[in-house]
Amino acid sequence: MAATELLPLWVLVPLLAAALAACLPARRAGQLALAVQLAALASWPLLAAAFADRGPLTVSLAGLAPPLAIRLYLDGIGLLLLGLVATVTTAASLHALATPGRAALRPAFWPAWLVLLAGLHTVVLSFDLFNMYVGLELLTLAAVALVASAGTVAALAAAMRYLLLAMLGSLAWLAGVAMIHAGTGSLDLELAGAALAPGGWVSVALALMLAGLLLKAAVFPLHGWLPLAHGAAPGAVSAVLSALVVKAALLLVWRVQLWLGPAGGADAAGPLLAALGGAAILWGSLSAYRQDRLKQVVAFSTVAQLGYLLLVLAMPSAVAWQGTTLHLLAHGLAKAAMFLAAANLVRRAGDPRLAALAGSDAAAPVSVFAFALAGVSLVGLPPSGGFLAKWLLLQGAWQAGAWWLVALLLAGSLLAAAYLFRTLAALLAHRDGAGQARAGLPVPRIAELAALALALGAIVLGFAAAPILDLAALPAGPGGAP
Amino acid sequence: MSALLVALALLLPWLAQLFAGGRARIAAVVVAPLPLLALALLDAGEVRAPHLLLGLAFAVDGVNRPLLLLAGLGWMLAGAAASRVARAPVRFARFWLLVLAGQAWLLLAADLAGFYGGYLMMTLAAFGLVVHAGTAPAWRAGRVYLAMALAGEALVLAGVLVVAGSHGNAALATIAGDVPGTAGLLLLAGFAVKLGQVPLHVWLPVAHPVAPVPASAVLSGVLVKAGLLGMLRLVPPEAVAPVGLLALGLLTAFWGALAGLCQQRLKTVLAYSTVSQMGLVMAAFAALQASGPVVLPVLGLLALHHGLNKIALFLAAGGQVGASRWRGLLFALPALSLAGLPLATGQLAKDGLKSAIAGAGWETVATLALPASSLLTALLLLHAWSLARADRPADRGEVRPVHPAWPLAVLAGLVVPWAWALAHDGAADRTASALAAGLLPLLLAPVIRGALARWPAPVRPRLPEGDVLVLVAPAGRWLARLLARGLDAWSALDWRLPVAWPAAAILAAIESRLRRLPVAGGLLLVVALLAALALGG
Amino acid sequence: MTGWPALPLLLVLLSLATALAVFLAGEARQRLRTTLNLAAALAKLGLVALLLRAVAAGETFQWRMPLLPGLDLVLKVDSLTLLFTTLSAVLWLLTTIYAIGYLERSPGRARFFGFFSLCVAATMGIATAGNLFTFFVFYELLTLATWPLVVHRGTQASFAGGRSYLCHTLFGSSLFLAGLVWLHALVGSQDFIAGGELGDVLSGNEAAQRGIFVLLLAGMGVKAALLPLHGWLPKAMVAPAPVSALLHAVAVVKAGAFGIVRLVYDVYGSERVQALGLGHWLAALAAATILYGSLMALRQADLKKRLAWSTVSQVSYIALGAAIAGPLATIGGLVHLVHQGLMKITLFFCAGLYAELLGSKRIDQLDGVGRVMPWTSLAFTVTALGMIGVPPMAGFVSKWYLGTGAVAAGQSWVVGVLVASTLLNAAYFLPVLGRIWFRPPPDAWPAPTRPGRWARAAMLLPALATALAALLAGLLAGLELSPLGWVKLIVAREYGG
Repeated sequence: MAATELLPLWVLVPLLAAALAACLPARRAGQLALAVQLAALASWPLLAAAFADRGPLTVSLAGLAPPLAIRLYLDGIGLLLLGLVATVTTAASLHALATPGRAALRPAFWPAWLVLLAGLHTVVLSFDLFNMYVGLELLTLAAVALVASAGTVAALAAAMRYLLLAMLGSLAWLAGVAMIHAGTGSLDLELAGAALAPGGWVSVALALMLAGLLLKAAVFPLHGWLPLAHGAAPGAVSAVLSALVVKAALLLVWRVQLWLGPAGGADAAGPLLAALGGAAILWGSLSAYRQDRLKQVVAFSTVAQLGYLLLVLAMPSAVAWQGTTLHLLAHGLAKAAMFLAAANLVRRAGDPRLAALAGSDAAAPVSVFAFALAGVSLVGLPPSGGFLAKWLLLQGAWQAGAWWLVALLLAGSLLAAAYLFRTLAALLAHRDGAGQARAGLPVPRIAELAALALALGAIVLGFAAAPILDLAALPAGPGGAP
Repeated sequence: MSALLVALALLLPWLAQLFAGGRARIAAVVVAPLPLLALALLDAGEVRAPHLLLGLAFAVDGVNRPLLLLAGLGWMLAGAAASRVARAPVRFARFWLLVLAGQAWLLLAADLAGFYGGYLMMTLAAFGLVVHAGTAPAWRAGRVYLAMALAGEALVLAGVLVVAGSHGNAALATIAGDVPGTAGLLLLAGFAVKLGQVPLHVWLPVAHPVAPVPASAVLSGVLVKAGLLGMLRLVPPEAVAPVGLLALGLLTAFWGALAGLCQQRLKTVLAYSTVSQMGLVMAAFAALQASGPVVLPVLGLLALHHGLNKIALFLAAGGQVGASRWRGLLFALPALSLAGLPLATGQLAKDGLKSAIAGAGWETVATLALPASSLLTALLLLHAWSLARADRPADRGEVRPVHPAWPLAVLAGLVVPWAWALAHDGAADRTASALAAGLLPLLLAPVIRGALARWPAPVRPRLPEGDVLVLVAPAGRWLARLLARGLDAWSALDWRLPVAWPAAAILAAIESRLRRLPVAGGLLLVVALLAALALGG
Repeated sequence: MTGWPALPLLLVLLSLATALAVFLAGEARQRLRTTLNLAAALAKLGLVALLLRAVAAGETFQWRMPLLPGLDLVLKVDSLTLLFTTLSAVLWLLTTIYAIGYLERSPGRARFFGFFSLCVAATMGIATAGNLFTFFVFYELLTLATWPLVVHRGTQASFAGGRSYLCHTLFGSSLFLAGLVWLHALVGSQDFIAGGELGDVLSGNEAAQRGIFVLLLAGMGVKAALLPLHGWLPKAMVAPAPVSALLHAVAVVKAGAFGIVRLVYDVYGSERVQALGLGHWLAALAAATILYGSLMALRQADLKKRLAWSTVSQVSYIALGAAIAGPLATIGGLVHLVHQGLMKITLFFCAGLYAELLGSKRIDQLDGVGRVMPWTSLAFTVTALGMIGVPPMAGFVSKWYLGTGAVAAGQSWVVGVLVASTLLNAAYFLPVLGRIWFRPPPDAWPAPTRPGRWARAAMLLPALATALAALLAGLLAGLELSPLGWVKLIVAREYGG
C-alpha cells in the first residue's frame, strides 16, 4: 500500500526541507515549513486509512529482513501523535509567521523548526533504539536552537541549561542502549525485547534509559529546566515544545516499558514511574499557582500535566490506556493553544507579568477566550477532551482499585482549576490605571485564530473521542494491545 | 345569589382599595363590610371555588353567623369613625381594608387552608393599625403585638398542618369531630393568644390603647373574636378537659378586671375589660365543650353583646365624654349594659352564661364566681366612667361635635343583641330576684369604690400596661440580644488557615535548587538508581 | 411529534447559538444583541409551550449520542424536565429584559449576555439530561459559565466571591465525579427512570449504594447550598442583580435542587432511599439548613445578603420534600422549585431596583422607600409575605404540602421545622417591610440615579410580572395549568410507574 511505502518520507521530507530552508530567506523558509506541515496534515488521513485496514504498520528500510534491517513502525498511538504533530505545528507556524518578531526572522529559525519536525517524526516512527537516539538528538538540538532564537539573555541561559541537561539525558539513554546492544546484539525493539533475560545488567540498562527519558520529558524532580526554557522561548516554540517535544520522550518511556519491560521486570518499575507522575502533578500544580508571570504558569502546568501520562503504568488496563492517549491529544491541543494565547496576551500588553495583564478580555477577547477554553480542557471540565481523558483514567484507577490514584486525579483537577482560574481572574480584572502607558504591540488576527482553533480542537475532542479511540487507542506491545 | 354575595364580601375590600386614596375613602370603607352584614341576615349554605388555592370553600352557618353580624355592623360603624383619623389617612384606610379583607375571608372560610389564610392576613395587616401613630409607644406596642401574634400564628399553623396531614384541605365542618388531640392543643394555645387569655393577654392592653380610636374599636370589639371562631371550628373537646378551660376563663375574667382597676388610662382600662370579658367567653366555650352545641347561641350573644358595646365605648373614648351630659349618657349606656344592667343586653348575656355553666354541671361556679365577676366588671366600668368624665375640653377649648357613629354604635349595642336573643328564644329573666341579682353589683360597686378611695394614695396599686409583660419583656429582649450576639460572633469566625503558611516559601526554595545543574545531575542518578532497584527487585 | 427526537437538543442549542451570536456580535451592536436575546427567549418559550402540550398528552422525547463506548450523552424531555425548563425559560425572558435595563450603560455587556445565554443552555442541558453522566457534563458547564458572571464587576470583592464559588463547586464536583465513576465501575451507565431502579441493578451492595448516594448528593448539595457546602451563596451576592436572579432562581441553586430530585426519584427511587435509611439523614440535613440559613439571615445588614441566606434556607425545602417518603411531600418539594424561583427572583429584582435607583443597598437605607417606589415595594412585599408562607401566595402551597406530607409520613417533627422557619422568615422579612412602609423617608437617598424611562420600565415590569406570578401560582393553584397542577401530574407518573 502506498501509505506504507511513504512512511520514510515523513522523516526524509522535513530533513530535506530543512536543508532547503537554510538557503532561503526567513519568510520563504517559513512558507516552506508551512507547506511541509500542510502536506503532512493532508496525507495523515491516508495513513489512518491504512492503519484502520491493517493494524500496526511496519516498514523495513532498504528491503532487508528484520535482524539486519532498520524498521519503521507505526502503532495506534504513533498514528495519533503524528496527527497531533501535524495539527499543532501547522497552527504554531501560522502563528509564528503571522506574528512578526525577531525570532522568526532569524535565518536559523525555520531550518531548526523543520529539523524539530523531522526529529519528532523519527522518534514516533523508530523501532530501533539507536534511531530513537538520533531522533531525540535532532529534537533536542533543534529545540535548544529554537529556545535560544528568542534572543534574550534569559532565553540564552535557559537554552544553555536545557542543552546541558538534555545531553546528560541523552548520555544516560545511550549508555543504556549500549548495554542492551552488548547484551542482546540487537537494537530492534522486538528482537532485543525477546532476547532480554531478567538480570542485574538489564535492570541497570533499562534504568539508565528510563532516567534519561524522564529527564528529557521533564518529569518531577528532573523538570527544573522546563519552566525556564518554555517560559523564555518565543510563543510558537513554547507551544510546540510543551505540546509535542516532551511527549516524544514519554512515548519512548512507554515503548521501553511495553517492549523491553516485560523481560526486564517493567511491572515493578510501573508504580515508581506512576509515583513520580503523581508527584509531578502535585508539584507542578502548586508551583504554577505561585507564579506571577503568565508563561511560567503555563509552563509549570505542563510539568503537572505530563505527570498524568505516567499514571497509566501503575494501572495498565485498556481503559487507562485509552484515557492516557486521549490525555496526550487533549493536552497537546490545549497546551499549544494556551501558549499561543499567552504569547498574544503578553505581546498585546508588552509585559509578561500577570498583574500587567488585567483587562485583557477587553483588549484581546479571542485570545482570552482561547486561553479559557484550553483551561477547561486542562482542568478536565466537561465538555472537553481533557474531561473524557480524566473520566477514563478515573475509571481505570477505580477498576484497578488504586484509590490513591483516584484521589490524585481529583486533587490534580482541583489544583489545575486553582491555578487556571487564578490566572483567568487576573486577566479579567479591571484595569485601575487607565492612563497607564501600554508598551504592547497589536496582535494579528491569524495569531489569535490559531490559538482559538487549537483550543476548540481540545473541546471538540470531547465529542469526537469515540471514533478516535475506535481507530487507535492503545500503544501496541509485543502481543498487540496490552 | 349566595355565591355572588360571598364574592362581593371577599372582593369589596380589595375594590375599595381603589378609592382609598381619594375623596370617597370613607364611603368605600363603610360600604366594604356591607356584604358581611347581608350574608349574616340573608344567607346560609356553602360556596366552593375548587380552582382557588387548595380548593377554597365558604359557608354561612350557626357558628359564624353571629360573628358576621358583629363584623358587618362593627366594621361599618368603626369605619365611619375613621374620618376622624388625621394622620396618614390613606395608609390607614389601606391597612383598614386589608384587615377587613382578611376578616371577611376568615369569617366565611369553610376550608382549613382558607381559614388559616384569612386568620394570618388579618393578624398581619392589623399590625399596620397598631403602629399607625408612629410614636415610640406605638412601635413598642407593635413589636409586642407582632411577637405575640406570630407566636400564636405559629401554633395555629402547626395545628393546621397536623390536622391537614390526616384530612388534607377538608371542609371545616367535616373535620370538626376528628381533630387529633395534639393538634387541638396547639390550636387552642394559638387561639388563646388571639382571645387574650391570661397569661397570653399581654399584647392586648398594650396594643389597643395606642391604635387610633376606630382601630382600637375593631381590634377590641371584633378581631379578638377570631380566636373564638377558631376554637369553635377546630378545637375538639378532647384537647383539654372543659373544666380546665373554665378555670382558664375565670382566671382571665378576674385577672383582667383586677389588673384593669390598676390602670390610669381609659383605653387601657377598656382593653382590660375586653380581656376580662373574653375570660367569660372562654368560660362559655368550656360549657360548650362540656354540654354540646346548645350553648352556641349563648356564645353568639356574648360575642355580639360585648363586641357592639365595646365598639361604642372605644368610640366614646375619643369623644370628650366629660363635655356634656348627653355625651355622658352615650358612655354610660354601653358601660351599664356591659356591667349587666337588668333588662339591658348585659343581663341577657349574663343569664345565658349562667344557665350554660350551670347546665354543664358547675353550679357552684355559676352561683359564686359569676356574681363576683359581675361585681368586678361593674367596678372596672365605674373606674372607666370616672376616667372618661375627666376627658373634657380645656377652658374655652373647642368641643368637637359628636361623631354620628358613636350614638349609632350605642344604639346597636342596645338593640341588636336583644334581637338576636329573641330570634334564638332567649329572653331575660324578669323575676324580681333576678332583677335584684342583676342590680346588686351595680349598687355595690360605687360603695366599694368609695371605700377604696379613702385608702391613702401609696397603697392604691398601680400596674404597668400589660402587667406581667414587664416581667417577660426583659427576658425576651435579653434572649434576642443573646441570639444576635451569638450570630454575630459566629459570623465573625475566620475559618481560613493561618495565612503565614511557610509552604509557599519552601516550595520556591526547593524549586530554585532543582534548577541547578549539579542537583539535576544528581537527581538523574538517584532516579536511575531507584529505577534499577525497582526493576531488579 | 414523535418523529422529533432531537427536540430536547434544540432546546439546548437554541441558547447555545444565542450565546455564540451574542459573543460574535460584539460589544457595540446593542440593538442587534437585544433583538437576539429577546427573540431567542421568546422562541424558547414557544418551544417549551409546544413540549408542554405534547408531554401532557403522554409523549416523551429522547436524543442520544455516544461519547465513548458505554457512555452516552442522553437528552430527553419528560414532565419533570418541563417543570424546570418552563421555569427557566420564563424567568430567562424576564431576567433578560431586566438585565437590559439594569446594564443600560455599563461595560462588558456582550460578555454578560453571552455567558448568560450559555448559563441557560447549560441549565436546559441539566433539565433535559437523561442520565447522570449527561447531567454532570452540563452541571459543570453551568459552573463554568456562571463564574464570569459572578466576577462580572471585576472588583476585589467579586473575585473573592467568584473564588469562593469555584472552590465550593469544584470541590463538590470532584465528589460528584468520584461517585459517578464508582457507579459506572459497578453498573455502567444508567438512564433516569421514573421510580428509579438502581436498587434492583445494585441489589445486595448496600454499602456501595449508600456511598454513591452520599458522594452524588455532595455534588448536588453544593449548588443547592446544603449545609456544610452553602458558603459560596452569600458571598456570590456581590454580583449584579440579574446575576443574583440567575443564581438564586433561574439556574444555579435550582440545578442543584433539581439534581437532588433526579437522584432521589429517578436514580434510586424514593422507596429505595428510605429503605437505605438515607431519607432521614437527608431530611435532617435539609432541616438543619433551613434553620441555619434563616438564623444567619436575621443579622445581615445588606439586603442582598439577607436574601441570599434566605435562599440557603428556602432551597432546602426542595431537598426536604425529596427526603420525606410519600407523594404529598414530593409535591411540596417539587412545587417549591417553581415557587421559590418566582418569589426569590422578584425579591432580587426589587433589591436591584432599590440599589440602582436610590443606591440603597443596606436594609437601614430602605426607610420609607414605599413612598418613593410604591410598585417595587408592593412587589417586594407580596413576595416577602409569600416567602413567609402567607396564603394565598405561592410559598404557602409549598409549605402546606411539605407539612401535611411529613405528618402523613409520620414525621411530625418536620412541622416544627416548618413553623420555626416561618417564624424566622417573618423575623427577617417583616422588619424590612416595616421600614419600607412605616418609616419616614430620609432627606436624601444614598446614591440616586435617574435611568431612562425605558430602562426603568424594563426593570420594573419583570419584577411586577414575577410578583404577580408568585401570587397567582398560589391563588390559582387548583388549576391544572398551575405549577401545583403540573407537579401533581409528575408525581402521579413518578409514583404510578
